[in-house]
Amino acid sequence: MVIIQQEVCTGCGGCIDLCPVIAVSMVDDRAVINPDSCTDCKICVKVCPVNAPYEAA
Amino acid sequence: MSRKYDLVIVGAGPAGLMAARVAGENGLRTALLERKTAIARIRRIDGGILSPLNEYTFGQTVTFNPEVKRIGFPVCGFSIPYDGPYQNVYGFDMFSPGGTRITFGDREKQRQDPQKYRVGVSLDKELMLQGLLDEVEKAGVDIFPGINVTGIEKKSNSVLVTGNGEVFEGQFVIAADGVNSRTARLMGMNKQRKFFATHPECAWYFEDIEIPEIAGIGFVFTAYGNFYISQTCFKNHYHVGITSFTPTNEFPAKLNRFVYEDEIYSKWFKGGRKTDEVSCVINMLAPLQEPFKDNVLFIGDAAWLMEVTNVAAMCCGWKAANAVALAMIDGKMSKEGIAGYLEWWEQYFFGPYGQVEFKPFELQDFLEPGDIDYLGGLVTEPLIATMDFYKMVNTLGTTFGELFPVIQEQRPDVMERLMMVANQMDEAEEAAGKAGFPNR
Ligand SMILES: Cc1cc2nc3c(=O)[nH]c(=O)nc-3n(C[C@H](O)[C@H](O)[C@H](O)COP(=O)(O)OP(=O)(O)OC[C@H]3O[C@@H](n4cnc5c(N)ncnc54)[C@H](O)[C@@H]3O)c2cc1C
Repeated sequence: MVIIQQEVCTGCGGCIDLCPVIAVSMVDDRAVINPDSCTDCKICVKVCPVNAPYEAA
Repeated sequence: MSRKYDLVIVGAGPAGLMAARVAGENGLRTALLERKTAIARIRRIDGGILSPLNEYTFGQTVTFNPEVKRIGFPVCGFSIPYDGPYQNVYGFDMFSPGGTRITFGDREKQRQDPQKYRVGVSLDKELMLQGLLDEVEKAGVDIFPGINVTGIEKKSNSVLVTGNGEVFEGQFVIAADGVNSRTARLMGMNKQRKFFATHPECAWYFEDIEIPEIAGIGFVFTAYGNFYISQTCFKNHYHVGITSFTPTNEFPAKLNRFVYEDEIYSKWFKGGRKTDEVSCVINMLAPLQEPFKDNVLFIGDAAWLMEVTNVAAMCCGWKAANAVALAMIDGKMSKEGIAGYLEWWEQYFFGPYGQVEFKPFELQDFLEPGDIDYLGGLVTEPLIATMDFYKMVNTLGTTFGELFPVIQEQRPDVMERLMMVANQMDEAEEAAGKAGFPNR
């Protein structure tokens, strides 16, 4: 499961744009993943310029 | 139940805001949908440089008169308010790993007559958007912040746009949702577009630093990455950023190295204060030749390879909303109705710039740091003053083309590696394509 570290996220929206299943949205200027829609493809982990998303066990 | 409008606009960046203002002024019942809750707030990187001044890009140019607090668009024929700080911008600079420099624009001459020789001004983009947003409100547009559009489809005589459980119905839709446009993807527009690269950037805001060499954007090539430093609207404030043509997790470490440890460049940032961090990810897909399908018109970055600039985005918004107004008057609710926009797009955007061959590659993959120092040192006179990326790249091409005999004679080894760049560009392009996420 991928989680976005809120204190690292800059709120650029790149992962929101590139998420293939529209599982990421912006809450208070920061990206948040909806675990119900996330398919664990990890594109957000790969594209994030500041390494905010991480894979939680 | 859907809300019915003449025009639904997706995205309240410079393109969507300008389209909304013009649509409202023309009396169209207009809805503006934006996923941000604070519309004028910018969290994605933007240098805030207003250009082109005293030159043309996409056939457009702007004027800025701080006394009347307005930015003028003399080609299209409109203006927007701007009451805030600014600094003159004179052009690009390029720095090699060891500190040699190529400058676009003769700073000494330019500073003698800024009005005539500046090629841009750096502004506070949030203030600019706020000024535009105020006018959109006055124009009677229904503004919906916090609506993240997730669906768009044609339905008999109208288009249905959905987001956050609400449905908006428009005779026409203007899609101004930016460079990674989801509406373009949902409408199948990306299927035919060539994919180049997924291009991330990260930038730190710095205050209290003095970089006298830069009055615009400075690009710094180092052995470990490509950086840029861009002048903001405040004296001694800069954005310091890193770019790449492939997704990477090395940005924070590399920026840190550049700012605090680089032998040549870290001295620029001594004593400075880092005040914020921003970033962006841009998916580079070839520009849309015909940015229209099923009564949805794609404008600004949504229809382009990467950034069209704030100025061009506003021009697109202005032209698009006027085209829709005419289509409604003429009763032509189809492509025929907005043909004026499509011709304009072909004339100023797609025709002259749309098919420019773009090769995502990093110089450092082919050249040694010392090679880049040597090449930078060859160009001792300032090149033309410009803030236009296309002009910059062309100028570099011609300048180094003319220097080939000199390089061949002085440094045949560098020449050989330069030739390799030309030969391996296609491979570099393919590699960048494979590492990216086209997201069609
Ligand atoms: C690193 C960088 C630096 C730049 N520096 C400059 C510069 O110095 N000067 C300059 O002129 N230009 C600059 N640009 C380019 C400039 O930012 C763009 O060209 C311009 O913002 C394009 O305007 P737009 O309205 O087409 O798109 P955007 O400004 O991207 O606006 C799109 C809007 O749509 C919203 N949106 C997106 N998806 C949805 C959705 N699904 N539902 C609802 N809303 C949505 C977004 O939140 C956004 O507000 C820069 C760009 C980058 C990446």
